[in-house]
Amino acid sequence: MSANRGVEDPALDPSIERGGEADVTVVLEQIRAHLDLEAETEYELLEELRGHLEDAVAEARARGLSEREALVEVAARFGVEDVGRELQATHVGWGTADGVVAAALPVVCALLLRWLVFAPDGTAVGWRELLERPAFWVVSVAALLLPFLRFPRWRYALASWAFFWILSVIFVAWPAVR
Amino acid sequence: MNHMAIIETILRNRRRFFIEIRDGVELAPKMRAMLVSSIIFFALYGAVMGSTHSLWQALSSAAKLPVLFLATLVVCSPTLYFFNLIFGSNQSLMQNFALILTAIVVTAVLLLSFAPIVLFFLLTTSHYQFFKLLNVGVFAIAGIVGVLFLTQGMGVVSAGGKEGASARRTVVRLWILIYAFVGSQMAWTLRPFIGAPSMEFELFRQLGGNFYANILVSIGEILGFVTVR
Repeated sequence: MSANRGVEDPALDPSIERGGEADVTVVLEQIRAHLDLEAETEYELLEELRGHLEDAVAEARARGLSEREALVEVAARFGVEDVGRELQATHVGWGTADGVVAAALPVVCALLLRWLVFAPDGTAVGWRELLERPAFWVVSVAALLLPFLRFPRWRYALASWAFFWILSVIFVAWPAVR
Repeated sequence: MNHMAIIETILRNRRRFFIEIRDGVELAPKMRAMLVSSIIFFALYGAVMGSTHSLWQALSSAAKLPVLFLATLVVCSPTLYFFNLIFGSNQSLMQNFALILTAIVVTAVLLLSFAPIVLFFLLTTSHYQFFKLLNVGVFAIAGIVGVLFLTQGMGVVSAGGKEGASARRTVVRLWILIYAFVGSQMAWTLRPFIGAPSMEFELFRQLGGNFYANILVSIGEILGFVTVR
């Protein structure tokens, strides 16, 4: 779709009509055609865009444009292809990065605990003694803060942190049990 | 983030990625991203493997695992290039290198995804032979998926060649066998990666024996047929 062409002659841009009525969803679907991201990320991005589009359409309607004209103008101003490409370029790789951090962070923190905080010979350390070690606090604060700062979604951070703590408890408790 | 974007393109839209390699689009940044990512992922997995033994073993395995894969890549890629060339390929050595690197980075990503599971078993079992076979299994799964990517990539790239596409497919399959043999021998040469609990830390063990015989002995011990001292 050529957005600018649509502004010059809205009749050339019938694709933004659905069932005879202009529809923001159709513009969003055209943007989605340029995206190849995780479904959840696409949904969140498009829902955010929907709000901006609806505001812009309402503003154009307030200036006296019809629903269809308002939508054509807004679609042209946003630039469907450009927005799609820009969103794709900005967000591609985020899903993989989340996955990599989710796999790597608990492992890195667990290894740091194992070799820096606990005795390097693998001796189990009691919690009381552990709490007095600065290295323990550094690792635990890093394990807590990094996911919260890195992940856009908090549940990943919580899952990562829970996994780290389960590992750390196993590190302390399991050798003693054995 | 750029590196992650390239990894995501490989995993999510591999056909487009292979077409870009075939057309020689931005090969250098792609290879850089794959190289850096695979070194980091292999190092992390290596550290997990070595953590059964000692800190030195963990550090040594973290350094040796990327070397294992990259050295195998360097040793094997000229063979693939020249055989493809003989059978009509118009791809450069760098393009072949990039395709093999794709297989390696997929293997590395999968190994990283297995790292928490392997760490869990490291913490909850003390059976050295079981842990060794677990790692062999993980490497086999990750390696097979990696070479499947390579086969698909070669298929896409070969589609643009002049002639001999079916011969090149056969060459890739044979090359994968060579790659597996070279890789296993390289792993045997660079061992230990886990470190037997009864032995002191060593950067490299003396040459002798072979990878396959060692795996059979491990299976034998787990099944109770053999006792390894």
